[in-house]
Amino acid sequence: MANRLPPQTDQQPKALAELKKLPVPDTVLVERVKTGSSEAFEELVRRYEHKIYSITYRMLGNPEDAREAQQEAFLRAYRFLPKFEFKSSFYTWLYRIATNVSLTKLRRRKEPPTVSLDEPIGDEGSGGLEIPDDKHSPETHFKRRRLKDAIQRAIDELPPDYKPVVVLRDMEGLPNEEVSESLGISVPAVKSRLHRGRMMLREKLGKYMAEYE
Amino acid sequence: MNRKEDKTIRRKATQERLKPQCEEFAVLLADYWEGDASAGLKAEIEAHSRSCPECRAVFESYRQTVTVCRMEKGAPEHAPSHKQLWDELFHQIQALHTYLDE
Repeated sequence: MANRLPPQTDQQPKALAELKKLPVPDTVLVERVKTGSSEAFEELVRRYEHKIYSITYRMLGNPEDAREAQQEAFLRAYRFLPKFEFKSSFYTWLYRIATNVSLTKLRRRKEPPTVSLDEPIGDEGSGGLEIPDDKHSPETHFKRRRLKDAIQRAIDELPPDYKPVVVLRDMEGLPNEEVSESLGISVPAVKSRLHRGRMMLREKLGKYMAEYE
Repeated sequence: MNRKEDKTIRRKATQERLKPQCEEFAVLLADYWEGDASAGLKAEIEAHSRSCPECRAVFESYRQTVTVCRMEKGAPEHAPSHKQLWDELFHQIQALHTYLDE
């Protein structure tokens, strides 16, 4: 009977090792979490922690609130995972939770951010918007930092309807269809809000960008 | 300009293939950047932006805005480490289970 099995070759262990290296799909991990595996949930956290932090930071504009919202988003995901029915992908569901947690936090803030883009960002104002290739020069680093800060302040000032669309589409690079799924709005609504958000950002960054030209 | 007006302008420009004029130029930029404009309309938008300095300025600043936002892709450097996040989450998950079991 043993002879009916194909002879062992050197290739088989290699193939098996390669198979083991393949990432376990989110759907499998979600099912494992549903049966009580905290290791599976940790793997899901590991996969999306940077993306979720990036979303909460863009939405809230400061590291402290962003960390709190990141934790809350994962905790909520864990709590409601037993009800997740795979009607969307796990990550768009998670992005939706992170966006909603951030929007709730924004609504609870008593005072809006008082920093205005009209305020001077610094006293240096030369150079081009095109960042030079010299990535290591202190000047380039400084310009990049100022640009990053100006963008974040401009995002902070966007209305709550436009902010998540711009964050998910332009800053996180999600296709319009996934933004639509994450936010529970139609694709035409995504495009319309995106355009309006970009036009507002353009106005807010206008003065700043002109400084660099 | 409201959403209804946006739609009307898009319909006019895409269905009737009218040349984009200044007042509709900004609205059509979204279609241009999202890849929704036909090749013909795209060429018209580019031609108009070359011939009209005001619209060229809008086109350029829109392009710069999208470009700088896309440069920001990725988690900021102050993101917490996995260990920091997971230690805190694990603690909270345990507390949640204790609460639900009570």
